[in-house]
Amino acid sequence: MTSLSLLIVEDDAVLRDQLQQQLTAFGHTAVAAGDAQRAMEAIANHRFDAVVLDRMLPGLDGVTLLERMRAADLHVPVLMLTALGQSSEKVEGLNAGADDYAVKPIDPEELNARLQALARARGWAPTASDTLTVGEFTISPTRHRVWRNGVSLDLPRTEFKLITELARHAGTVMTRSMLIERVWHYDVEPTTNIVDAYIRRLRVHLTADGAIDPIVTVRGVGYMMRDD
Amino acid sequence: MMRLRSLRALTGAFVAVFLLVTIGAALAVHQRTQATIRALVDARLAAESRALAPDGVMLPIAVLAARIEMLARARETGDLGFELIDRDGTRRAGNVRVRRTLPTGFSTLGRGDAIAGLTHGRVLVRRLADGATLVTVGETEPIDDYDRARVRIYAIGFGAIALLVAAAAIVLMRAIRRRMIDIDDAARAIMAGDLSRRVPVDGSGSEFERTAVTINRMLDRIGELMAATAETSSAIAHELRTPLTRLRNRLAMLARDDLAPPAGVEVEAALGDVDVALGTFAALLRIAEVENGARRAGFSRVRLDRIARDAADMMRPLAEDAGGSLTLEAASAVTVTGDAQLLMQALLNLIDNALKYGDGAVRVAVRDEGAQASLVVEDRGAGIAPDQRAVALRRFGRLDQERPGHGLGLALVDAVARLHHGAVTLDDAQPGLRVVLSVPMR
Repeated sequence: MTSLSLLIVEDDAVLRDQLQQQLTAFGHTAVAAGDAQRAMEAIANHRFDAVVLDRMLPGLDGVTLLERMRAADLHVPVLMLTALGQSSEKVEGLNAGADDYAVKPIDPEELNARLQALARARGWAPTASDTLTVGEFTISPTRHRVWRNGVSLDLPRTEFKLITELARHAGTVMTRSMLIERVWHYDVEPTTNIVDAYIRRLRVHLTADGAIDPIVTVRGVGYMMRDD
Repeated sequence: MMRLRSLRALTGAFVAVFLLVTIGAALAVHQRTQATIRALVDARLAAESRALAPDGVMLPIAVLAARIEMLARARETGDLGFELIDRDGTRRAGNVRVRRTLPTGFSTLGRGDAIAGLTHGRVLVRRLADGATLVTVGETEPIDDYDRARVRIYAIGFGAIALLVAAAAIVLMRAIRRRMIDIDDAARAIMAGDLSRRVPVDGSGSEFERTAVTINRMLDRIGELMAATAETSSAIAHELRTPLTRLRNRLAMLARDDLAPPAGVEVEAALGDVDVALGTFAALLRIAEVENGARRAGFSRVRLDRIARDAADMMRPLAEDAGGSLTLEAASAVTVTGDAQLLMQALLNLIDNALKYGDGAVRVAVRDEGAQASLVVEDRGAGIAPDQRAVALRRFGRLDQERPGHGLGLALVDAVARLHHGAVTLDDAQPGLRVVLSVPMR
């Protein structure tokens, strides 16, 4: 897991301290800002790996701050937080340039996983190659093909999407809700463990000939593909 | 008795009664005028007749005849006719000739009496003291002509009044109806979940406006109370979610440390309990969000058939892992206006329930019924008794307390249906339960 340099923008002092403590516990360095003005100053003076931005801020709100950041060519990844029960604001946040969106209070593991994924995503060079190489695996998302040590694997559509997402974030935990969003493109709360059922199927395909399972279950959090 | 409940019936009845009264009044006025005119003519006939032969004065018949001859030539009495007949029945003088035998007193003459130059008239027959008979005839023809004019005048006058009143009644009816429709529209919108809707107020200060303002104030008050209730439950959920999330984090940290049993087992169980509580709060807040209707702002064209296909694909492994099956009745493109995420969530909840309470075989279908589209989920389980179906849709309406779950799954489906101006119905699939989520196609 990578140690990240993070900025937390949250006006509620208690929540701000909690977020800072939680993220520091994961080994990140976290700077906190209580309003948009301080946030802009911090972003201008330091290069962060990601920003956790509360949508509701006194004075300048989170969406406007984000729009100003993007207008000022500041492209640091931003995860926007909103109060529960206001999911219609999600589109607004994403339109303003947020890279990810979560509802408060967010599980620290979920927040950490999402921030890791954001920071990791920024590290890609999308023009370099269409293929992903993770350990023994080579994946071509455009050609819908997977190879293990050069041998082609035949995966059903959903299982293919699942391994592609896991490979893209290899070494980082993907939570169930992140996988639901990215594999199925629905923002739903699965009442049963749909992700677990598909992971089981994917594992059957990957370990059919006694090969080592490349997917690690992180209890209570989600799944991770080994990147070694 | 006919019931005059609707505004249209009331207005119709009023206009009909008003027309009857107007026609009656016109007829009465006409009758009265006619009687008055006749009385005037009769009075003149009596005056002329008495001037010629005063009561109680015995005039020689020759004198009388001479007077009649003279009068007949006079200009001012040119419209009057006289005839004098002596006691023997011999006609002695006159400028008219009445052929039929008339009773003493006043009578009406017509064309049938064949008096030259007279079509309508009145006649006074008097027995004079010497036994002679004096007949005085007066024309009413010009008066009858005037009578026709009068009928026209009445028709125009009373007709204009009747038309005006009928038009006013209809305008009034429409105005009242428009106000009532405004109130009805507002009430319907509010029932459909748009709690911000109010009755239009035009600033006229009229009774209608006062009623509208009162209704709006009442709605504001209800809104305040509802907001207070929603705020309280949301606040409780939020307030408890934060410490629960912290508790969950602590338990998760403990669980990571690979505690020795029984502590490890207990921590795992506690983690499970906290997750149930967090899940319940999340579901409650989600229903509250759907119910406030704000998500209608983001409605777009949604392919129900695609949502059904995606949901079936998503849930099929769960059905198969449990030894069951999930079949999809594929439909062609069915498009509705709505929220794809919420419709997907609702369908996932229904399939999840069918897998939990059915016997493993679940059928999902999309139906295009013209005016509405439906998502149908059927299982082959025990079903739900008709009297229990309303309970099942209620919040925390769990039918089987032994089974896990917070009893909010179907309540969310119901809220999603109502957000789409649709409905959820529970049926007997013989055997099993059939749940139909129908959404109007607009």
